[in-house]
Amino acid sequence: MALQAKNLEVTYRTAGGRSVPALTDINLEIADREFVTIIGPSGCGKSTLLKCFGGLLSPSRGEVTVNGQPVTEPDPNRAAFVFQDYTLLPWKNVLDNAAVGLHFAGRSKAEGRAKGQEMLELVGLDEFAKQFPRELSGGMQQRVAVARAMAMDPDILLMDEPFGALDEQTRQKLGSEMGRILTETERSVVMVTHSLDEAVFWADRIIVLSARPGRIAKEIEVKAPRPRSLSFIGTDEFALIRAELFRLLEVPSAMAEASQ
Amino acid sequence: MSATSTQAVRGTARRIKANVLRLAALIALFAVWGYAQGPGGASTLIVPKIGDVFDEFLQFLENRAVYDALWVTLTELVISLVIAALSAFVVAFWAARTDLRAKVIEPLLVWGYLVPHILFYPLIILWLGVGMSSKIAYATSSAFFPIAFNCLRAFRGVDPKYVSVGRAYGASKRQMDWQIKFRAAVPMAAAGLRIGCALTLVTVLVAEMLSATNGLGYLLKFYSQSFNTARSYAIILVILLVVGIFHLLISKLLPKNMEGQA
Ligand SMILES: Nc1ncnc2c1ncn2[C@@H]1O[C@H](COP(=O)(O)OP(=O)(O)O)[C@@H](O)[C@H]1O
Ligand SMILES: [Mg+2]
Repeated sequence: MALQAKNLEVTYRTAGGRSVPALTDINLEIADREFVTIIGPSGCGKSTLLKCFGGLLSPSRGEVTVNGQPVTEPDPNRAAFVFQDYTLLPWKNVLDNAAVGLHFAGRSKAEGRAKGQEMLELVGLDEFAKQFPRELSGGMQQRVAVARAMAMDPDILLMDEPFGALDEQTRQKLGSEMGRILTETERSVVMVTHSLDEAVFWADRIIVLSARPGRIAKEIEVKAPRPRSLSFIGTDEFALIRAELFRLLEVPSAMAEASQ
Repeated sequence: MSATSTQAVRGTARRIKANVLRLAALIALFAVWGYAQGPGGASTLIVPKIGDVFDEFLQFLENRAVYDALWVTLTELVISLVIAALSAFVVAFWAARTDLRAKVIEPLLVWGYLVPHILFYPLIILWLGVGMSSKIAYATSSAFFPIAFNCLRAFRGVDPKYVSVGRAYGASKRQMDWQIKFRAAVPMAAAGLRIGCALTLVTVLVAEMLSATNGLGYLLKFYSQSFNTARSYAIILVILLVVGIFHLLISKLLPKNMEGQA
């Protein structure tokens, strides 16, 4: 298996000295090439969990391992991040943004450029290589952010609400494109989302987190083989799982019951 | 495509209009000046003849004293700006590295900014004499504080999301310092540098007018005290040219404000 979380627990300390339990009792395994979506109420610790997976945050207790190796600090070759608000570096052009991880790793400029260009082609933005992020739409910037992650050839792709800041149409268009890319690259993907449709459509498995402190309320497998065509949305499986998610997220007692 | 070209055309039209209006304002100024001189009957002590000012200006081109003064002023400007900017940068960078340092240093910089440095100029003269070094000391101390303050705020205020990107994509400590934090701070630090430049110009000229033995400010005081109004106006013209070129250079050299990096 690619990624494993054991007895994970995160407690934040606020500036005022209060402790905020964000995650508790997280046990999870994510297989090679598995596509896992994480969904849950706002503030339940989805981002926190993803940061632990990526080594951006050390858990208060428990550990995260990738291929058996404990994760203690970020390593973009192991797990690469796609942030919700793109966060491209505004002083670098699109190509240099895509290659920034290779640059930090000390690879030659030529190698970075070649790989960056290749990844921009993959996300359909090779013509925009010389432009600056501010000249691109939100959807395009997010594609650059995906290219930046893919340029690292990571085992796992960690995406925190990657389409969350986009309008619905862009989101759907970008989503189906990204789905093709992510499926073809055969990596493990962990994607946080607040969209029920996204959660079901992409996933091999959906992790539902309960409200704070986040714990795994339910794991739901989606059996339909990937990559899926849009017609999957019309199937019974899709409708049933979506209804189940809706019940868990919108009816408080259902979530409480599931978490028992 | 057509929308952007229409916009471009509109932008050009607006720019032409603005320039025409500016030119009109300039012509109006000279018209008033000419009127005051001729039919207005103003004394040449207050308003010299335009032609006289122009003649004086042309004479400056062959006047060694003016070249010397120009050289002195430029030297003072450049040296004080370089010292102020470098030291401010180092102090801000050092102070930004821990919360404690930043907390202690920031109010000091604010006070240093607010205090009128001219109060100390007589003392500086006492210590360093009336030569160039007193001008440089005074201008440096004036320009240091706004630059340092802005740099400190810039280094402290780096958006944590860029730091996250650096961490997530494997930036080393050094890369994080220079290629993320420093780079993200550039626009705001540059704003501080602009303020510093403006202050350096003013302080150097004022200091030369207060007490000096050379420099454009000194020449201006000298000519006006000897009631040579036309020559005073001409030297003001020289100073304005220097100021204009200085600001042009600064705006060309400093990075533009980057949109989308607020
Ligand atoms: N740096 C922090 N300090 C204190 N509390 C935090 C910090 N980051 C997140 N939290 C709290 O932890 C909880 C989980 O946050 P987060 O993982 O961002 O939730 P989600 O992504 O599911 O919306 C929230 O209640 C949030 O207020
Ligand atoms: Mg979040």
